[in-house]
Amino acid sequence: MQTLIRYATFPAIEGGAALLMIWMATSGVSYWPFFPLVTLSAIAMVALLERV
Amino acid sequence: MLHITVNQVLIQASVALAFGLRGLLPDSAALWPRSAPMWVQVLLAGAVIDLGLYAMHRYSHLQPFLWRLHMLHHSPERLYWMNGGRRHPLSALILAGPSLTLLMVLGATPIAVAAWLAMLSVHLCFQHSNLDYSLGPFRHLFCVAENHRWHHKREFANAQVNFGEVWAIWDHLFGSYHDARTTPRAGEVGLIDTVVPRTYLGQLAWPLRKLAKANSVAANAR
Repeated sequence: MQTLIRYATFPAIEGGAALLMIWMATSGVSYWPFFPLVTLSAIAMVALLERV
Repeated sequence: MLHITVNQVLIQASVALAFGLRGLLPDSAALWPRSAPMWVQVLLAGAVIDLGLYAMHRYSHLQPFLWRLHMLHHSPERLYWMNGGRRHPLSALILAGPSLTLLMVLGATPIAVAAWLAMLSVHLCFQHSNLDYSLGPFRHLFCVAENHRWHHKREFANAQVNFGEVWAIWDHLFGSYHDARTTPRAGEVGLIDTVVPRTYLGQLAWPLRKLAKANSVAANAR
C-alpha cells in the first residue's frame, strides 16, 4: 500500500486530472462546473491520502 | 481554507476580467496560435504562466516589499496540502498577474488558460503536501514536494532554490535547481524568529504593518 501511494499517486491523480482536463478542453466541455469539479476531486484525494 | 478560497476567487475573477478586456482588442491583433490543437495551446499557456510565476516568485525573494507579502506562504513550520494556497492575495496577484496579462494581450484561448490554472491548483496541493510520494528520476523534470521542500527551508539563505511551480526547467536554466538525497522535515521548514498572526485579517494586515513599521524606523533614522 505504501509503495502504491509512493509511486502511483502523482501520476494517477495529477496526471489523470491533467489528461482529463485537456480532453475536456479539446472536446468543448464547458468550464463551469466541470473543470472546478475535477480540480476539487483531485485536491480532495490529496487531502484524504495525507490522512492514510 | 480561507486563503485558498479567496485566492481561487481572485484568480478566476482576474482571468474573467482579463479576457473580458481582451474582447475590446481586435482579433487581428492576436498572435496566439488559435488553430493549433487544444493540447498544444494548453501546454503553451502553461509554459508562459510557469515562466512568469518562476520570474515573479524569484523576484519576490529579492525585493523587500514583495518578500514581506510572500513571507506568509513560507511561514508554516509543517508543509501540508493547504500550504499551496496559503498566500497573501496581493502576492498571488503579483505572482500571476504578468503572465496572465501577457496571455490576454497575445489573444490566448481562455479555456486553454483556465485549464492550465485548474491543473496548477491540483499541482500546488501536491507540491506542498505531506505525502510520502516520489517521482524517482522524474523529480528533475517536475517541481514536486521532494525538491520543493528545500525552497521552504527555515534558513533564508538556503531557501533560495527550486522556485519553479510545475516544470523544473526554469530552475535548471537559471541555476536555482537544488537536489539532495534527503528532504527537509517538519521543523526544518518555516521562518526563523517570525510570529504570524493567527487570524485571516491579521495575516492580511501583517506585511503592510511590517512595511509601515520599517518606514517609520527609516524616517526616525533620518
